[in-house]
Amino acid sequence: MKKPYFVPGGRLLAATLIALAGMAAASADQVNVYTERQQVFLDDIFAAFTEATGIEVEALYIDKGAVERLASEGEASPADVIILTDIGRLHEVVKQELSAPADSPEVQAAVPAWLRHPQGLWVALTRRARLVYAHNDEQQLPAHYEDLAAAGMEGSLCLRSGSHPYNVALFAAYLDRYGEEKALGWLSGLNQNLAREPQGNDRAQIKGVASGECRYAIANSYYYFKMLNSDDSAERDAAAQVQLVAPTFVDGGTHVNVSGAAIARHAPHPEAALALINFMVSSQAQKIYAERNFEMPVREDVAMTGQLADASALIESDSQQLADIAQLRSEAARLAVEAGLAK
Amino acid sequence: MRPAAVLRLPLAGLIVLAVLAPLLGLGIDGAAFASLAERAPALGRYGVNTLLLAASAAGLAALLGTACAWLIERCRFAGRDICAFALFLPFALPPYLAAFIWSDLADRIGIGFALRNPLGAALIMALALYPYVYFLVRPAFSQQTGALSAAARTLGCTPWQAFCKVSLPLARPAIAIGALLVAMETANDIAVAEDYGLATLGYFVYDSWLNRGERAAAAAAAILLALLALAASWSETVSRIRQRHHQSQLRTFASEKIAKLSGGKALAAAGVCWLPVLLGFAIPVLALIRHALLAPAVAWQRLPAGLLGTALLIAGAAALAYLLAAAFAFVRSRSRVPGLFEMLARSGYAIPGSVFALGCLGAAAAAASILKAITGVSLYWLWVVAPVVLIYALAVRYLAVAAGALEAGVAALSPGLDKTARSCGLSRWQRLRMVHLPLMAPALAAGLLLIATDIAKELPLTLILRPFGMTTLAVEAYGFAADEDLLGAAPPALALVALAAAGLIVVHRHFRAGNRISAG
Ligand SMILES: [Fe+2]
Repeated sequence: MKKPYFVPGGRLLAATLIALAGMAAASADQVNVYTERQQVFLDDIFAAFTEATGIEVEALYIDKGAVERLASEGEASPADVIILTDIGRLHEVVKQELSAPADSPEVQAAVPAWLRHPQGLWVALTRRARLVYAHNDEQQLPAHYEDLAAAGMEGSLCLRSGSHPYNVALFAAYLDRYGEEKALGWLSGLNQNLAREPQGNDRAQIKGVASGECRYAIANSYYYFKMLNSDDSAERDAAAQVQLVAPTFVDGGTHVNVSGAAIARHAPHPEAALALINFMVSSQAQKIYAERNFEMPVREDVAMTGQLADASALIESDSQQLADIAQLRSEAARLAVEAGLAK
Repeated sequence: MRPAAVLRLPLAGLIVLAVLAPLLGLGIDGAAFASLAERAPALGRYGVNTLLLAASAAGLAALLGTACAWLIERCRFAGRDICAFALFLPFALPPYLAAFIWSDLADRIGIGFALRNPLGAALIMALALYPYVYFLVRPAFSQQTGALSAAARTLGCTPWQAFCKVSLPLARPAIAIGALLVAMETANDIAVAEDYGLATLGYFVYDSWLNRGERAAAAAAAILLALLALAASWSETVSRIRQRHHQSQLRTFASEKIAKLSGGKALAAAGVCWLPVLLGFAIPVLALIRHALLAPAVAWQRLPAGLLGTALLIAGAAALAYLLAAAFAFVRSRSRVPGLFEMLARSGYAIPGSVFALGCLGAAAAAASILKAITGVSLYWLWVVAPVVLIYALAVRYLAVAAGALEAGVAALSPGLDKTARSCGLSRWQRLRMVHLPLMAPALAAGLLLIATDIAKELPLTLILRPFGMTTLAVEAYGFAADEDLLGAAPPALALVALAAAGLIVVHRHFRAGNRISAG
């Protein structure tokens, strides 16, 4: 069979690519990152870091499985820093003993204690609130997460799969506060009030409110802000018909999850790794996160822009132990199945 | 003993090891099997759901693929040539992307719930994957014998009976292989299951392993999934072997008769053929074009890098997959256990890609440490810097497709032909080059296109195993789609479509050339 025409050129380019990558991976003024976050906004932060320090960032975007890759590589891993979303994944890094302490004075000064591991085995970079959405015309707004499970509201609630990590973390937070019996009651209440089987992503829940499929929806707030600021007029219009509600648990506190980073235990460039984490909690980087991805900074001294600032002011800060939430994931997921929110 | 026979045994061992390494690399232990028993009720539920979904997607795909292939090959109607081409195009879009696009469209008019359910998912998967069937079946119909159906009809069969009793059985191996690929890909899908809220084993494996770190439960479900897939594979092979005798007798007829359709019949045929193109390709791609016009500049800027990485993986992994498939065919011909090697060839496709990738990581780490113990040198850089493990993983993963194409090609050979060629004094290699390869060319070319497109849109393996500095179009598209941003995903997705169309144009030539040879 004839070979495809692009092969010779491809080989040459591949060789160049390999040589370049080889040089890059070996360089001293460099830090290698594995991340389950997306390239779009991290690129800006890494560029700012390189400009500030002269250290180049080589990043590998592994949306699913960065922790597992790090674990299997062991001592041979080239990774210096791992950046993840969801406290569950950060906890996995600690559980598998894959990280080294990042407890510099900079980190301690910038990040409140509840947003980092006691020994600095992970450090939160952003806060992500899981909030409720209702149509602008809606008069009856839930003050508490518990209100969504109240009797007499059948057919009103939309959420994505009950086994999605974002929901599991919310359920685990409830379980941590009120114990198994109450948690099961709350989850069953949510299930009773569903407008449709749990489905779609977070944006689909907000669109469901706009289209009238759902009276209330649960979603992370940055998706709402991204929709409001989208280049797609349909998404903008949908979000514009929807208001954001920041409920608390009955005894206070809004559910907040985090994205965060850790230094790899076998990091070939540990100093550069710490420098990167220090930079990522600096006001400069925190501002980029807030502006580009509409996540709330972990620092208290970073000014947020209009809508995000308003929402952030609504959120009742809460220092629930994130590690407990991470540990209760399996239990919470099991309860979600029992209540019918997951299959 | 002939040299070929001496080679066969160690080669067989090597191949079996190479193919099973990723599964062994998962390090499944006793705990997993204990967990299998412990979770039997839940896993039973997931298993039933998975079977239902996979069977409906595969059934729909078999129906669409076979109907279209038959209409294209055995009938002539206006627009038939373009349609023959376009029917492949839905395959260029990763199923999850088509699912997200339809999901978004449905949400815009407030009927998301009507789409996001098991039936909707089966439809989406069938529309995205029927080209497996279509492309593998077309050669079977094109070389089939009009004389045979004519004979059947003179014996009193209606056209429909002739189709069911003669044409269909001849195409059965190709249909079964295609449908099996659709079923396995559906059972192993994660993104569509997550978005559509489905309880499949594939999703369960991914969710418990990567979201909650419950390795034993994940491994238990992966074992169950692999067993189901391998059982399906085995029963497909065994039933085909039973049928082979009957088939080889039918093969001895050879001539062509093609029905020229007009009026209502032509319209109906065109309607059937254009429907999957419309739903699986035209509408999602129109949506993508609209999104691409609004996409951020970075999505366009990274296209060259994505294209380069994609081309590199296709060249490396497709070649290796065919090499493995050929070695398989060589070894298999002497195997005493029917279906064993087919099952092995498909084992890479039997578990979810992300779990397969984790197995590859495990196998690569083990291989690196063994090599280090022997040579004292760490060869780890080899896969940090070069896509060695990734290319290997992709080749093993899509071995099922390459082997399927090879089998469909072999099925197109008539045993009598080989005898004739031998009696003309042609050597083994001459027979291969002058008789077998030209006859197998359509199936091999179709397989190459399938596998290249599969590699281009492949996700979990490429995502997890690629080296620093490498990206592909699929990775670029997913980066945005995972952030629920369809605008940014549009440019790389359209580039994938363009790449598949270009591949189709290149391969289609071989396809026609093959038809000519087999017809004349
Ligand atoms: Fe998210």
